[in-house]
Amino acid sequence: MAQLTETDFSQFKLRVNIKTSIENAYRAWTTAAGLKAWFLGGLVFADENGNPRPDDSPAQVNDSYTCYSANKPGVMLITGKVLKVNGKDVFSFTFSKGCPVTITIYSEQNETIVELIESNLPTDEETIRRHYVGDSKGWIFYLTNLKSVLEGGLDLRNRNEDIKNVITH
Amino acid sequence: MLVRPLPPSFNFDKGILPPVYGDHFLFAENLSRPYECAEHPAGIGLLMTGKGKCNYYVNGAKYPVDNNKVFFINRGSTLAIRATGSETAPVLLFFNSRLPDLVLYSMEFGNEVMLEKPFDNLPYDFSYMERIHADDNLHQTILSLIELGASCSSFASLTADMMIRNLFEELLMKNQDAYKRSQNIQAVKASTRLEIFKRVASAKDWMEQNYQTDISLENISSIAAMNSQHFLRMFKQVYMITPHQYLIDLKLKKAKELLETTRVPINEVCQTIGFESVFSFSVLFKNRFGTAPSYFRKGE
Repeated sequence: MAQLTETDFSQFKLRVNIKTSIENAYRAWTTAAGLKAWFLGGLVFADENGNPRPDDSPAQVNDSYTCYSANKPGVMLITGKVLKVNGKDVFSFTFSKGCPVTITIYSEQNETIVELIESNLPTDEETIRRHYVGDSKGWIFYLTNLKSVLEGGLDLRNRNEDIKNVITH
Repeated sequence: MLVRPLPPSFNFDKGILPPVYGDHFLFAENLSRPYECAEHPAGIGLLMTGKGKCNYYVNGAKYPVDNNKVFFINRGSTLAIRATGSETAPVLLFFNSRLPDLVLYSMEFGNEVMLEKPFDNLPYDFSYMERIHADDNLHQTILSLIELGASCSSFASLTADMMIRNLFEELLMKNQDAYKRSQNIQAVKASTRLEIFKRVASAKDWMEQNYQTDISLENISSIAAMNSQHFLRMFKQVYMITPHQYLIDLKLKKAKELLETTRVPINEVCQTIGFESVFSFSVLFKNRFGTAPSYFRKGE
């Protein structure tokens, strides 16, 4: 049996296997059109001068992004910055508390693995509760939705505004 | 954002100091017992009640808060709380103490300057907002934060933080606007301008809540605790419009909203907003929006 080690609360890693190509998975992360299909809601990438990129144009390093609520399009949910893109399988951006989230996409056992690492999280009790726990729970649903959308086209997000307090919202 | 029940003992007399929050903190509790909290220095935040009436004492003055009312408390002010009713639900939202400065700094200077001139504590004055605000939207937003705090929704905490930031940006923009308007008041002392602005703004809030009733200048000036002629002059100095013109404009805007969003007959719209004559309502509406109410509804 593997020996238990102390949990490192400064980062977490999540992996999901998806029956799709690396290119498709990469596009789903790096274009506004790709992200709108499975992530929080509306999303806009803007270049360094603040000009919005077309929905199908891939994000570039130093782009900013703004994510809007799916059910309330005028409500901004999060803003951040693109830290790294390599045009094929790595995409990194700032997320909650400005901490970096890095997406790496690779093949394993004839499937595509999307690996997400959120790192540099402060390890005080409040941050652990709100960001380590809260963010990892959020990512688990959205990575599941990414798999669902890319494999079968079923979007699991809740679109019924009257239903609240569900993991799909 | 973290949601917590009211602290059982934040009491200087007992030697228990109020906590210092590095993050947004929301206290909310349905009380079935009286609650008291002794005077202590507060952070910048919003005080309200989810139900019943709660008395907040800020810098020694009593502010009873109920329904849709929200008290904006400035940092450094002293706060005591007293809720004596059995069916009250005090709600206190304290902001991260650095947030106001960061938001204002970014609103004023933008990203480039922020990088060149790293943020340092700036002496922003939030005293223009320190009063009761009758604002149903603000009240509802804070209540929805309580819901979000206990929610299992994905990224609920992140969403709450962004909502708080948006809410704060709005409040701080109002504060800037209030400051600019207060400078129109012809008074030598800054403290006099501040006091006059607060009274006039409270009366304006009251008009927004009661626009559909029969309001006289005496009614409004009594809310501001001012002589009616003095109030009239001060209102004009602050808002560049008379209270009467402001009231008519409020009624017409509400009428426009009703015409756009409901099928209520025009004579009922007229009654709802407190006009006695449909004819004078139609004339004023046409003057304000360029088309008579009936044509406006038809989209002509």
